[in-house]
Amino acid sequence: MRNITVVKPFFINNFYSMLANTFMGGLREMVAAVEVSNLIRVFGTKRAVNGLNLKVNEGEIFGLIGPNGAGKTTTLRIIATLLKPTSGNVKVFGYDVISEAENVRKLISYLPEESGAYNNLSGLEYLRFMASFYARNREEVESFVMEGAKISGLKERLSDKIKTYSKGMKRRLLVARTLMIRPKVAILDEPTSGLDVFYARYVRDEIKEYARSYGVTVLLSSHNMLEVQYLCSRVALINNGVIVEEGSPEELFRKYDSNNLEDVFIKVSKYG
Amino acid sequence: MVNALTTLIVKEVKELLRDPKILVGTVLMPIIMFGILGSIFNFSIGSARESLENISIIVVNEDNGPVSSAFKNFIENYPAAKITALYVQNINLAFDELKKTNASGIILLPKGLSQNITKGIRGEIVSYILLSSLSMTEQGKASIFQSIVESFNKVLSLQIISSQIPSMDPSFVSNPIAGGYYTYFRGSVLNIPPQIVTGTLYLQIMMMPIVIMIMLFSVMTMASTSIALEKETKTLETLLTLPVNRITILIGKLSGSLFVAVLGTVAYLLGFNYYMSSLMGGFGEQQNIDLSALGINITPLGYILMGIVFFVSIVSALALAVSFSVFSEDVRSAQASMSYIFIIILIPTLVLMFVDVNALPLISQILIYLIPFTHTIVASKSIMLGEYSMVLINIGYLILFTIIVLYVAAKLFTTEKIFTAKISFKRKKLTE
Repeated sequence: MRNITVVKPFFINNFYSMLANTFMGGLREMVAAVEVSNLIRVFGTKRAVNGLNLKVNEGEIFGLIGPNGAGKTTTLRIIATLLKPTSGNVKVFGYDVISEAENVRKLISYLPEESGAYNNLSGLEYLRFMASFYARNREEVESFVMEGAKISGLKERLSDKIKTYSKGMKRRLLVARTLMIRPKVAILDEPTSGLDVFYARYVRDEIKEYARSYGVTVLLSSHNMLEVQYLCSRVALINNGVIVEEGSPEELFRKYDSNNLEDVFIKVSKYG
Repeated sequence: MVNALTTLIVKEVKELLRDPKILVGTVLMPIIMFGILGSIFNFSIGSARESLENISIIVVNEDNGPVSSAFKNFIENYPAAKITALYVQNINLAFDELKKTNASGIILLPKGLSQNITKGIRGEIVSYILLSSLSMTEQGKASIFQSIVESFNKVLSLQIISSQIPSMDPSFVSNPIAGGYYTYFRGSVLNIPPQIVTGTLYLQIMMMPIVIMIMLFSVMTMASTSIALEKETKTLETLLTLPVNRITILIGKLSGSLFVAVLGTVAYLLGFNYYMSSLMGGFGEQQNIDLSALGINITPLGYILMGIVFFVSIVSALALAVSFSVFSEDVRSAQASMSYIFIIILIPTLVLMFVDVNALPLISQILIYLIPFTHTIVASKSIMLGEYSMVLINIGYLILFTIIVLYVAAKLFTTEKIFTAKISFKRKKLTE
């Protein structure tokens, strides 16, 4: 009797876990990298985000474009678990940003628009500090740091204290630390802000290359329409806290009879 | 994951110790400050003693009689100090000499001094003491002139008594009663006049709250700067999205600041120890009293308790500073908000410097004892006086307060307030 009671649950458990794996595996494929539904965020009397809906698929580079105060940064901060929504649902790979914030933080890497680094650490120390939170062991920390050093392109300057870096150098270091850990979702708020033309191009190439090589989902915001056009497979135009248009750049060009996103954005804002 | 807490603490300590303002202000300043204070004290005592052992005076002898001759003999053989006297004819010349030489003052023996005293009329010896600064040496100079005249007075008085009443002992006639002054202090009778006991203790009691106040100020400034710097340099936003529990981030911040604060406390204790030994060596020796007889010697147990009091006070100060700086937008705002907390440290500091709390009305006593840092000062004083039983109550109150403040800080850290709260003390721009 004892043998039977042991074997039966084992068999049943195995069967159920097999079933669950198949079923959940299928479900996981269907889960969006980022899914935002009816998101509202109110600051005092101002509605920064007003019923926003958004879906970012795994592995794509998705761009949020819009004017100042449109709600881009607030949306990204909510996805990055910094702010709480007033209402609505936000999920990252199925994890809720409020009730499962710690799980969300394991999947994301966030680059704020105005971000800094610790001035009294060297570039390498900073990369090592950030890598330590994501790596499973010391070897992985060093592997992330090497990757970060490569992305930043700062070479021997990485040994210097961050307080000696220019604004552009700091931004490259920060982009590097965001990408080096190979997050499931990289959330980049104005990634090339403060960079000159050459380094902006360098950073864009790094983002594109990194997303392609490691299958990283990228959700970025930018004022720079050319940047978004160059990087993103899909874009969403945001104004007054809502998405006013969405699609691939090519789809939007066709729909609005234009060859650049700037024109599309103006047409959508005027007539949309 | 590599240990997140260790990573956070190591980062915090590196950031703090590599900041010259924090390194100097928290770790080096106490050693420098106490070192300077102790050295100044030693130097003042030493120079005062040295200058009083060799004193130069100008004597204006207008009298030229037997009393002035006796005075001349008296100062040549003065037992308490070596006196170099310069004799001049009149007071104007004496003031000229005072300007030119390094003499400490003028003693005027006026015309008719001997004649008056011979006739039984009280004579007068006038002293002009040069006050070149407000130092300890100058105070000593004033007393040495007084002591010369009084001693000579006594000698003269004994001579007059022996000539007028040869049958009696002149010292008995001049002082038929001898006064004995003892101090009953903390259950023991001390062979020290009470003014010396109060003078000595007051010096200790004045200094202790100031030392604690400076220590808490620097610790709170450091913790609030650490949080505000994260906001100002825009690193907080990233830190809060890391896959680390917010409480771990708070503990990391507190532990990093605490590590540096412990270094600071050790520096304070070392500096304080040096200062105390300067005080005991210099002041005690000068007054010729054994300060340990007053109970002012800190035992090893006292040092341990002092360490615990400082440690708990520092943790509560850190947690309080963190809770307040959460609402600040930048370092300047954080430091401005600290100035409000400093008021609650200043109140007990000033009160305990000048007043005996137990002599205050009950309501004032309650208010003062509600301020946690009152207990830091009270406990430190009790430790210095060897009264350890009350210290445990002080430590208990400090621990209770610390737990409450840590709880509030933890609550604030887990909400978005840490990120959204923005109290700025910058001057508002004028708008048209």
